Amino acid sequence: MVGNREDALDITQTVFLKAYENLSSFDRRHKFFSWVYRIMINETLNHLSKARRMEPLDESYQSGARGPDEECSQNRLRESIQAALLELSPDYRQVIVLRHFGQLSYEEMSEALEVPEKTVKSRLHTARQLLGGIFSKHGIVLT
Amino acid sequence: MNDNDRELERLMNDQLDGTATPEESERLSRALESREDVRSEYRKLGGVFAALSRIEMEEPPASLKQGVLRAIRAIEADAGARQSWLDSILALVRGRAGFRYAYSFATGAALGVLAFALLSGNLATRPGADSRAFTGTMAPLTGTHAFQHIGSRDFTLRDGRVLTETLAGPDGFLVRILADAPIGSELVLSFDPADCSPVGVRQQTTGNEVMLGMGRVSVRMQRLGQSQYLLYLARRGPAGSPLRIAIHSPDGYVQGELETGALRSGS
Repeated sequence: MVGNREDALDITQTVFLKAYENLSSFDRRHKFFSWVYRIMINETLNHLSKARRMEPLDESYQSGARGPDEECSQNRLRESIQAALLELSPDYRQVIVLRHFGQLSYEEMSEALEVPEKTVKSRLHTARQLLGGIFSKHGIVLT
Repeated sequence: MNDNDRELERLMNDQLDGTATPEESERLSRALESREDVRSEYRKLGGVFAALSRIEMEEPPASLKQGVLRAIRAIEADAGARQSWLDSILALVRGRAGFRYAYSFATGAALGVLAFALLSGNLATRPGADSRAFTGTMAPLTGTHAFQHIGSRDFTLRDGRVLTETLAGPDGFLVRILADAPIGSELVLSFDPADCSPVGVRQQTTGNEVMLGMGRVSVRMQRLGQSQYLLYLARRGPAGSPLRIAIHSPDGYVQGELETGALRSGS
């Protein structure tokens, strides 16, 4: 989500601490991990909005800097895919991350994002379509 | 994009997501057979799924867990300084939902480990069962208006003593233990997990080890000093069995039962 390992570690620690400090406010009608994901999403978005104000995107994550030869290597390919993900807006990136990496169901995503399931699906479809466009733009071909 | 295209887009996503029904898969197959534009879109979408599957999830480093646990301990210490131990257990009783999660959250295990403190002395106990009515050396617990006294016990040891009191709460009961036992002693409170479940345990001072597990709470004395503990147990059913307490010391063993009248009556 944030494109930086150290930031991801900091955010993860903050998320767990915030969850721990606010356990008493957890509503048992909801799923626990959806609640944690909600905190994670808020914390990540806060981080991204701060980063946007303060720092340019790390050059290593700007996919335009890579040529076609580099993308032959699996590592480079993975980096390109990650860079493409970072080109998505946070709203679209988070549904991709929750669904494809977090393996959350639509229902769980709906709880975590506090939007209806229909919105989750629609956002996910659009995100995948946008990602396909970004892959094409950067010459990433996968079958 | 018309309604039919939107429907096909949904079908393609559901198919690749593994959420399409057999009927939907069949409908998509027919569209793929008859339309090149659908095949092209499906290949492109399949490429996105394939690309995303190439990214592996990174395992968090061990230092992350350590960092979280250190920070949680710092929060606990800070909270302890601001809040009395009694307030803290009552807060747990009020906000029960969080406690169970706090354990699995902080430790990643079903058991929670806290610290306890006990007064030393060369405890020597009489072997066998021993419990008698508490005679009043345990000061009344203040701030527990919502709780009703059930009973007290005084477990006399050769060089120490363990006093207990049980109080009925809104949906469970509070067990208070005042202990004075030598280092190396272990106090085990056991109960039927089908009848009640531990919601929270708090110690007045730190230094000893508390293990909270299925059907039992144990305290291992690791430092000198008198200390007091509060355990809140939630009722899980109308019927219940009494709590059993066992005190193992370097010189002997004492056991007995604690009254849980409210638990048994289901009130």
